[in-house]
Amino acid sequence: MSARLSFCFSAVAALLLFSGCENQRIAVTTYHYDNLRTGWNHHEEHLKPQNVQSPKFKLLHPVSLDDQVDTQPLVVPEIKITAGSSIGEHEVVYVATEGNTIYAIDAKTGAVLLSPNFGPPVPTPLGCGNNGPNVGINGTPVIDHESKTMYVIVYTLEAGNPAYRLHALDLGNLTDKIPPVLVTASHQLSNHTTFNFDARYQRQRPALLLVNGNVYAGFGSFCDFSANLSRGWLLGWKAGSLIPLPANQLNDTQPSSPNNFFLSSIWMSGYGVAADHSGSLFFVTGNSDYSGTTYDGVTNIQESVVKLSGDLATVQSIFTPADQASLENTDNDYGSGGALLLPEQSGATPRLAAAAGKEGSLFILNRDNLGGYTSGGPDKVVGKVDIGGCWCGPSYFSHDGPRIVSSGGDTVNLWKLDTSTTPLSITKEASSPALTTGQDPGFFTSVSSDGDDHIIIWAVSRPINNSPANVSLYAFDGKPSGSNLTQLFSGVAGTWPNTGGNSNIVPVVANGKVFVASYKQLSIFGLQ
Amino acid sequence: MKKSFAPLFTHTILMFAASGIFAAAPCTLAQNQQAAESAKTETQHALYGTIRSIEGSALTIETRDKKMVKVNTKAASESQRTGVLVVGRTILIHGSYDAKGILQASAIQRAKSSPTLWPEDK
Repeated sequence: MSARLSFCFSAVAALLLFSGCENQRIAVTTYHYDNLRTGWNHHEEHLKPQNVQSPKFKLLHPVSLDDQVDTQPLVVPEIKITAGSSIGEHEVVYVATEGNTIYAIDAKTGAVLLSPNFGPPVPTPLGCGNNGPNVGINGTPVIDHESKTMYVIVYTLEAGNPAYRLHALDLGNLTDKIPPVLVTASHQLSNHTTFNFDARYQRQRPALLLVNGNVYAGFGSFCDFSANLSRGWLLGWKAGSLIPLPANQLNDTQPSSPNNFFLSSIWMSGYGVAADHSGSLFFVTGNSDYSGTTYDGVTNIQESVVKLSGDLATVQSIFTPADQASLENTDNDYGSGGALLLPEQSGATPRLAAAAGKEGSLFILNRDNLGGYTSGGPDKVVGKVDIGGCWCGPSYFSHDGPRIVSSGGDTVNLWKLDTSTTPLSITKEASSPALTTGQDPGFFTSVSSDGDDHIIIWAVSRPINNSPANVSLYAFDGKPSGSNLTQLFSGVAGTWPNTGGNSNIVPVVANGKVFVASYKQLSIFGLQ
Repeated sequence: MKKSFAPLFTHTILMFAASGIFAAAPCTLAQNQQAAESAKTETQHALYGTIRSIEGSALTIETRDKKMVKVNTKAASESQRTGVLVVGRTILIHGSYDAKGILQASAIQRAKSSPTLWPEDK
């Protein structure tokens, strides 16, 4: 099976295609377009390098919102809006804010169609300033297109106490299809005592995942605060009923630690938990006790890529860098970035994953056996390259072979994989000019193309100062000129005044438009 | 999977409140509570800076205008309002000054490395 054909299969559930007589329109129903988290829309017929670098490409509609947006916009064509004053069929972009408002916006005109609010957000949880400062909807929702349902987790105050609720919303009117469920969980620690999920100490940051008929959500901490009470969870619910799965994943099940510091969070700067075609789940964990002594890969799985069964009952494989203790000592989370799963490739290692963290090493892994932990090294990985510090996540596309787009430091790098050799080779094919980007190193990208043609790499920078705290949209030609990625466009796309918390903005390309959600604004770019 | 433990400590890393064993002048619990209470009632400050030294719960940070400020992390540590502290890292400290001019921290978090992203100190 070719990589391209395989990608098409992988994308069926998320990057849905609406075929018309003249053009085809796609739906973006999950973070980074599909459950592999490729970030690649290869059905973009309108945006091409030649018109994106022309004056015709510009900001068309700035849409005002009520709060900061830490989630990725989702786009669905041909939605019948059944409430409000704009009843009828629309191509809708859905945006969820930290104010707990979900907007349904006409993708073509920027008109707000619906904007229900789901309760007061939690102001500055635990005093952690790494927020908006409100924390409401922090993780990107996911949409089941077939049932026209959006699954979203809302963080709100109930009787003055922080609580998470999972909602299943009708895409046509954004009301609950069934009563939302309170997020609860418990897990047995290794000494047979019970540890309970406590919403006061857990941040739901990663994008939600819909696969296996289940909705999954990862949890971490606020600023590493209350690290004695906060641990990394992956929870799941049956999509139709919102009934919790019988099992859940708790990454640290140790009853004590030298500094009473647990975590092993799942946060990934907002990247989504990924899933392969067999329904296994993949995520990356952050730091645990800073003594660097609590890792064993069983009762504590920190600083690791984890492959988990879809029923959350079995850890199927892990990869932990040999320097995990050093990562712990220095709060250099591997889990600041997400894990990209590559579509199936030819060659001896067909199923690959890629993940980088704060330290800046992008590890290429064999998903069938992630590589475990090798004390003292060398790591048992397929490949490793330096991409720069990464509060980020990779993208993927295929053009004469697989390509990984990294966005560590301040540069987009394009990596070419040759899977026909053993071991596989990975070489830097081209780099962008440095972006004007600040905060922590790294940023997020996506890719658009029309099949193999008109490949464009999109990126959104982070602010470099407080006034103005601008974020900018960049576009680069995905076909390198020598070793360079030619810049096609850059323009201010919004602001991010809460500079203590990173902007982790994913540019979303769908049907001739680019959607960038920032602080109190959705910017819709396109051709005029 | 087989258990395998990493080295206990690295000398380049100084940790802020390892049971107080590195504290130059250990405080009693009552003193700690007093300091914490004092911090609550006095003017709250928010100060950005770069960690230049760590000795137990005593930090020295260099502010954006190159001043050296002594910080006591004990209350922040005891209330679990801090993360891992490393020399050279930039941080934001919330707290209040005591009579000796030491900033008694109630919360410490990582700050972005570029001072151009730091709001004004309070």
